[in-house]
Amino acid sequence: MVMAMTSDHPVTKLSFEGHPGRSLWVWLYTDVTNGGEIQQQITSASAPLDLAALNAALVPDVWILHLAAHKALTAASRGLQRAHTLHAQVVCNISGSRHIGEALKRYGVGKQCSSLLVAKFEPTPQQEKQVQELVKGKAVPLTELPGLCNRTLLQKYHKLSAPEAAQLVDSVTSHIAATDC
Amino acid sequence: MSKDDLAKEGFLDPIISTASCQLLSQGAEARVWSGEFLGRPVILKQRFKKKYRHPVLDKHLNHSRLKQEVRSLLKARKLGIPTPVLYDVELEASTIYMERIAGCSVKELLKKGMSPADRHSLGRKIGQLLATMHDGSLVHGDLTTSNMLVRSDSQDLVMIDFGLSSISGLAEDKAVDLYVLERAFNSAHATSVDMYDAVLEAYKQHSRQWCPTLNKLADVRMRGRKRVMVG
Repeated sequence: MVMAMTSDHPVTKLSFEGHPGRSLWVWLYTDVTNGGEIQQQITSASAPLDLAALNAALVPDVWILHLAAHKALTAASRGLQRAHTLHAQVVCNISGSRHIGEALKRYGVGKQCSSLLVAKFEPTPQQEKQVQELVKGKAVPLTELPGLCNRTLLQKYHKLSAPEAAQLVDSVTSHIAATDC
Repeated sequence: MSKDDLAKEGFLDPIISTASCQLLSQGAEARVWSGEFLGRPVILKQRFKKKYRHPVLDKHLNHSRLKQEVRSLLKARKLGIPTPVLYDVELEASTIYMERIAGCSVKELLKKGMSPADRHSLGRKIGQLLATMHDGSLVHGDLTTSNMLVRSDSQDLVMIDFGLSSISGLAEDKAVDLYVLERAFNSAHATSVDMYDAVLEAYKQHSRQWCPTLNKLADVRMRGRKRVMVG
């Protein structure tokens, strides 16, 4: 994991030893005001934005995103990808369920979404700039992610028991890993 | 065979190449490797192909056992039994990625020698965990002292290897579970039989269904692990 402070938009780059050469760039924003607009752009039919925009309140740790991205890359390399794009597959994997629509609705960006985790595989400098201009909010370092978590909602979505909820990140990790079983 | 055919049979190589990992042990059904996954220490468990079985049957058995193991791990976690964190499952490669726990197995600890007081408290811990597990209808299936680890940092007891476990509410299955553990204690650790007494004592205290289970245990002791099948 490499953190770099480029301009005012701290970006974290995740690499994958199972998929050499691939890297995922991650930005975190709080106080986002244009969630609905971003959602519209991602889902627009004419010129869709190809990136993963996640509700940061439902990602308790960047490790979860790292894992979901690894799974998406694995699925893509084996021809087992279920969602339309690689980035949508990442969002689906984070949900730990096989219901794509529900996953995008719950874990993707929406109107109500005030903190946002944006991720993109190997953006060009131009795409990087596009991401930074897209989100109207405060760019913050990724270390603030655990503090933004909505534990109650996450517990409900993953149907976690009380002992599981006590170890939230570990339990969510296990649930995501076992999606296909 | 082409790569696609192999994928259909469930025997692709894992994404994390085993060449970069260290082989820890090989059993009858799986190989266990130690490696690195997204920057974390990891255990890879790969169930391998058996050439003597019909390929269709082989694939079916491999998949269903892999899934059973994963489900049991999740169920144990749901009940609050400490287990390794599951990192990834690759059905196509019949591989499970799990957290590598820094610690020692109970077997090793006993070999090194423990004080009677330590043995007693560890035995009670084991008994309490088994009670929780059995009350939640989870039967481990291969309870031995080498399948229980003690974390070196927090001294927590962790159950591993759910490869033979199943969901069952029957007193019979639970009693066999306890019997297998008893045999492990009697044969491998003849000097620490007192520890098994502590296990049973704690089991009795914490399990709601201890009575039928321990009654069955007496039956199982008489006849051994395998049931007499007549008719």
